[in-house]
Amino acid sequence: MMEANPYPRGRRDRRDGLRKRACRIGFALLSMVLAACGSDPQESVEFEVGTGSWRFEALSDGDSVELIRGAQGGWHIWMAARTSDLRDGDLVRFFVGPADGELSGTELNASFDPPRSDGFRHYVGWTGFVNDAACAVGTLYRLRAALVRNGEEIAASERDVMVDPGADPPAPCLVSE
Amino acid sequence: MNLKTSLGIAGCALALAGLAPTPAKACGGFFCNNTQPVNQAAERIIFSQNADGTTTAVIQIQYSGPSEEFAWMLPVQGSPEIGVSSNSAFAALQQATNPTYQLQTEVEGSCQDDGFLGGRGGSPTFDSAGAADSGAAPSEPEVSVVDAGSVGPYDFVIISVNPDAEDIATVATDWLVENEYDVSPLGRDRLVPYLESGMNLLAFRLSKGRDAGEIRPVMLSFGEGLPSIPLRPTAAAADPDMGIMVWVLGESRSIPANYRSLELNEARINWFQPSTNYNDVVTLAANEAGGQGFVTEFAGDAAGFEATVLPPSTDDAFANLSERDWTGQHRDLVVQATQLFQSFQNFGPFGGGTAWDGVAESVLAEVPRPADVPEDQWIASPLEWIWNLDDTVEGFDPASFLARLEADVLEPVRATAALFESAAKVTRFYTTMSPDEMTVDPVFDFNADLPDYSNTHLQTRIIECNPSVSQFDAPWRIQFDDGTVVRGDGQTWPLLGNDALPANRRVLRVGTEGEGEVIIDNSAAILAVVNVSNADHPRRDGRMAGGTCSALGGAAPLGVLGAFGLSILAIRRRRA
Repeated sequence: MMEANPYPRGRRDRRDGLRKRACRIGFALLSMVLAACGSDPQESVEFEVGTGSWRFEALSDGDSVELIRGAQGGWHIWMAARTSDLRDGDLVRFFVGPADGELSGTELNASFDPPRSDGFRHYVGWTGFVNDAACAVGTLYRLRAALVRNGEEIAASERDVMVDPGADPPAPCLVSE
Repeated sequence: MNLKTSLGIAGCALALAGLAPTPAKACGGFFCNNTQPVNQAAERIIFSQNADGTTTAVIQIQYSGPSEEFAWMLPVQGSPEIGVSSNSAFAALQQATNPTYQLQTEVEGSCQDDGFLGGRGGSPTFDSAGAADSGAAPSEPEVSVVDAGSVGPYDFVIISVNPDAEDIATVATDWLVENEYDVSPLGRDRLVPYLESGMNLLAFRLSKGRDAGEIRPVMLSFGEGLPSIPLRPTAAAADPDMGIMVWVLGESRSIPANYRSLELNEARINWFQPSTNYNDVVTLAANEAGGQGFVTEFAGDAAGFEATVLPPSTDDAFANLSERDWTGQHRDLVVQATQLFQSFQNFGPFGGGTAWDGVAESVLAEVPRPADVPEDQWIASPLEWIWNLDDTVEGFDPASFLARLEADVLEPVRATAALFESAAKVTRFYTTMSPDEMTVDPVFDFNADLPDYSNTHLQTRIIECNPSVSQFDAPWRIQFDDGTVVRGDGQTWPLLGNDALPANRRVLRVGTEGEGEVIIDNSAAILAVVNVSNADHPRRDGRMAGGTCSALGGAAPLGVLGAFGLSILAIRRRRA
């Protein structure tokens, strides 16, 4: 159980995982990394965070995502992920929170659907809890997911989305002084 | 000769052989005390999305262990209304919606022993479905008491935890333990996401002097929102393949919004004795689908279920009792009133019946103990001794007794039955899950595009008689609705224990509109396995038969072609 995001934030669209990060370092290092990429199949992992309860819906920064109210009164955003490479023992970390604040997250052994015709496997229906739903409406929230293999994030993806009140909006935000 | 008999064999009520509650590990529900090494059986929950948009949950709690160690809790937002329900409501509802698998039999040709219609060895018969059966907050509080009180046999408390607390789950559980809610430290990390999101914790314990035998379902009325089971904390006290049975009441058929929808492969069911392997098939199906899927066992009109849960005759009979003068007939009143509230009439006053929740407690509270009955025996089982009462019992107030029955026995059932008044549809789901699969809380939504789904599964077994074989041993065939033909002989299901046979026909993801998306289709694989099995069961003319079209005399290759054709048709239909 992750209580807070222990990972640096602000990196955009890391679907290419380590390779993309490594490629920013420098030419010499890049060469080494690319060489390594060629011999390590993990480097080709494509991984993307999205939304959806029953099917994966891709997101772009700035898209709207609806708040969902659960019967017990909690609020969540549907989160989803897809990947081109999933192996036994792989875990997924889901994080959600204000784009300019702390993310809270959970690590789980996610039950991905079988591979689709494009080779991707989808995981849908994760309930990303929204702590202060009323005040989250109309603000940017960050949805982040990471694929964890052997204890390390080998790929990650995040989107900053606008929180939509949805069909069943929460009470207005009361901001205390 | 084509003898048609409607041998209604194999009417099965699945429910309880495999699904009946067994001695429970702690407390059913969503989160349990795990200190007792006992077994947690199927969870049963009714969710009702009411006409005003609010949601009511009725949760059956199963527990076996010392009364003082019972504790049960779940995360809630705010402070729901809390009441009690009755196990009798679950029993009646389950019995009415249990899946049944029935074979009717037709006989082609003449067998060696014509006239036999299923007597030898006994037609498979199956059980009828049956059901089982405050503390004060500190001034700078890390924990605040939102609500506390008693309902039925329980004390309850709703606490909120300061989100700035260093270890929010430990703070919550430590507080509960200090206040005599014997919650287990196991799995408290699983509470963190709920507490961090601002949810409160609702905890129950048995009130002082109340016994674990008095545990009954609770009814929680929430605000608006989709029904959801906070399943993750349950993993702390769940056994492998724990059954989860859910009824969802609403405007239309319900769907497991973020779980897979499982369509069972009916050829995997032992149609001669469905109760012997149904639960296993569901478990296999759930496992094949990644451990997170629900079988829809029933979806249909809610009309009529109110009377199922509380028969009007019971309500009327109680009203009649309440209008009579019972002077000098105290024993008769107690006997008649208590007999009214039992699930099954049987021999003797309570020889085989199961009293509704609250009946025994009402007798203990209102009826003075007969002088010739030892106190311990009276307390242990008062309903067995009510015949010892005199016609006039000193200190007994008929009106008070009836009022208590009304409040503690009848009204909770009435309130549960009333949930069906405002609903248009009832959907029943079932699955089994192991702790490691309880990583996601299932959420239930609604889909008005989906049709009703009957819990009655009926197929015709055609016995292929010839003079050289008895009808009992004769080969037979069953053609399922999708065209698959299963062939066998005698009284044994030919595909029993065939591990190559998938337990799901299809696995789908279903949203709030449309028919959903098929993510696994095992139709071809099922057909292939069935064809191999069929090859071992010759037709009455001695030829081998394929999986389809056997009624037309097709041999195995034709069967495969037939199946291929069906597959194409199926694909076209889905695309249409």
